[in-house]
Amino acid sequence: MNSVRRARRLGKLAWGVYLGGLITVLWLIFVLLFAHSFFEGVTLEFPPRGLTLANYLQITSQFFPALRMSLLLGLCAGIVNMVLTIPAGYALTRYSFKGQNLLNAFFLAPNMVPAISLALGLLALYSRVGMLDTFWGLTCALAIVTMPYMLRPVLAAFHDLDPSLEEAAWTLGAGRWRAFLVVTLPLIGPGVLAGLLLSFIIGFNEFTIIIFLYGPKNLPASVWLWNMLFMYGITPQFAAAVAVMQLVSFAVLYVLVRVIGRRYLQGVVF
Amino acid sequence: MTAVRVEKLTKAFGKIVAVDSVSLEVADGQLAILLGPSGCGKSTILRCIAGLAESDAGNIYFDDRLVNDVPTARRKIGFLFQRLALFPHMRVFDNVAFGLRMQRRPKDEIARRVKGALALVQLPGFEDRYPRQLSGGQQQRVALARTIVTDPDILLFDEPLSSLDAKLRDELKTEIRRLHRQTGKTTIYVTHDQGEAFAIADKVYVMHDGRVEQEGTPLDLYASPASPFVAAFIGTNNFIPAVAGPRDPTQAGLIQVDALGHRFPATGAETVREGDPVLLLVRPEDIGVLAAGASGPETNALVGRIAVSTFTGTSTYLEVAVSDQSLKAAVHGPGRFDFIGSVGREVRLHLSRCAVIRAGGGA
Repeated sequence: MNSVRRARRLGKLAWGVYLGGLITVLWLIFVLLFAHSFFEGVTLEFPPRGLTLANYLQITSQFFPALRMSLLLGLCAGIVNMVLTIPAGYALTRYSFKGQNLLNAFFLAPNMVPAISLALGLLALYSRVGMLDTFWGLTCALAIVTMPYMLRPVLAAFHDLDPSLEEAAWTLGAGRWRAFLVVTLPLIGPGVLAGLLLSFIIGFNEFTIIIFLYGPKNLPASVWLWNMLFMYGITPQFAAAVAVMQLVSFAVLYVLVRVIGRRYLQGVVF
Repeated sequence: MTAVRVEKLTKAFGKIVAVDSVSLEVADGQLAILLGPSGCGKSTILRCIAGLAESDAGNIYFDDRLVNDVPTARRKIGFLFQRLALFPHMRVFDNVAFGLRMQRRPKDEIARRVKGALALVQLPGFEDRYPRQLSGGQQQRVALARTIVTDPDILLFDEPLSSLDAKLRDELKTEIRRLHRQTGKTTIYVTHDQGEAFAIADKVYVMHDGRVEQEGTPLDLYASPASPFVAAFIGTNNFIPAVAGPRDPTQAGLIQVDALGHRFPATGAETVREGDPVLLLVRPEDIGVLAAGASGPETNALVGRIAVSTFTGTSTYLEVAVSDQSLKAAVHGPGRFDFIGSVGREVRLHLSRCAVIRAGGGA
């Protein structure tokens, strides 16, 4: 009896050690860079010396415009996505038609194909229509990349919604628009918000595609970091900028997990 | 007040014809039931009447107004959904007030009418609860209040009681009948439960494979089923192969039928001619069971041996072997105790209320 219990406790301990080790390895890189942002120096030094906030103050004037650009891009890409995705989700769940599964797969595909192919395609298109280095050009590119992240939770929300709720609103005298706004939209709200936040994070951090399409007038944070890296290497200032981006991302992720719950993140971040 | 007329309604889903040229006529203030097994098309008809589904052919009239192209919101109907469809993000008050708000009624009128509706379904004081905080029966009542509060012309009920347990179902059945008496609204009610249908209906349409198999009062359907399907679907029946004999010249509607070596007078099937193969129908509850030696009426009597005996408390159900047939008989009342564990005993059966239908087809 006792030995069984002891074995079980040992088993639990082993799992704990395993998971703890895994998470430590995963996070070590983040934590190291984060820690360095609080120390003096021109390069990363070991052991670090001189605790300071100077790194953060030094980057404000150059980094913050880029950070603002990224925040705006992420937000606008999310909103554009939301407007496009809600009707798509409605149609994909309410009606059944030939080729529906294929269409579903196509909608979810953009983040499964090589990013470089999308980037070069957009580069060819944008250079022709003059959308390189424009805010809306970048927004559209990000909207394409993040669409699957928006569509998945929105589809889940529509899927969970009993169609008779909207029908009930019709029978009670509500027109189609009214019923959608008063009944359907509030009920898919959590899914939409989840999609919005996910789109935002992905758009905010995006690098691979935007590096081909950005310009001096529209310089997002991720590309700014890349440029910094080329000019100065990994400096404590660089670490501070990265830390800020991480903080934004984690804050949004926290809201996602705690406020919205995992239902709408199934298959996306879990 | 409004009568509903459905003319040759047809609706197919892909290759499956859900509703096949169905016509209904529900008079003003009547409570009509669409009764049938699942997949028979009854819900589809209701959804077409509500405008929630579009028909492929046929017309729907409210009084003399053709409503085929009128959107649901403007049909002035009340629809009670099978899954209730209470708005989970709204309190009971807002759920019930929804329809009145769509009509842009003044605030005090809304408050008064919501209160009245909740009182009518015996849920006063529940205004501030959310649907998830209510029991199944209470949710049902809120849904009912929401459906009637707008004073619709027509009430459409889509199996609203099927998710409830038997006791609650009985209670709400009575409630719906009471509400119908009080409001006198034209009501069309869909169910697969014959007991539910009989408890509340003025008129029943029995549906099968997208068609109306028979329409009539509960008594019509029970006593003179028009087809084997109706005979089997409404309650339990004994189907005894038989041959039609001569009609009784003295009593209209009666026909002599030969079965199990006896001749029985039976009702129904006007088109049956002498010599036709028919089925003799007898309800288990219309078979009197007597001990073999007991004295009783000599007509319509058969002798058999009990093969199965099931005591359920309120009744004893018997299966009695009579020549090569097995007849189901139900014994209610005080006599039920005499047949507990009676397998093998010889009994005398007395068949009353026999009906006849054509073998293998309709009337």
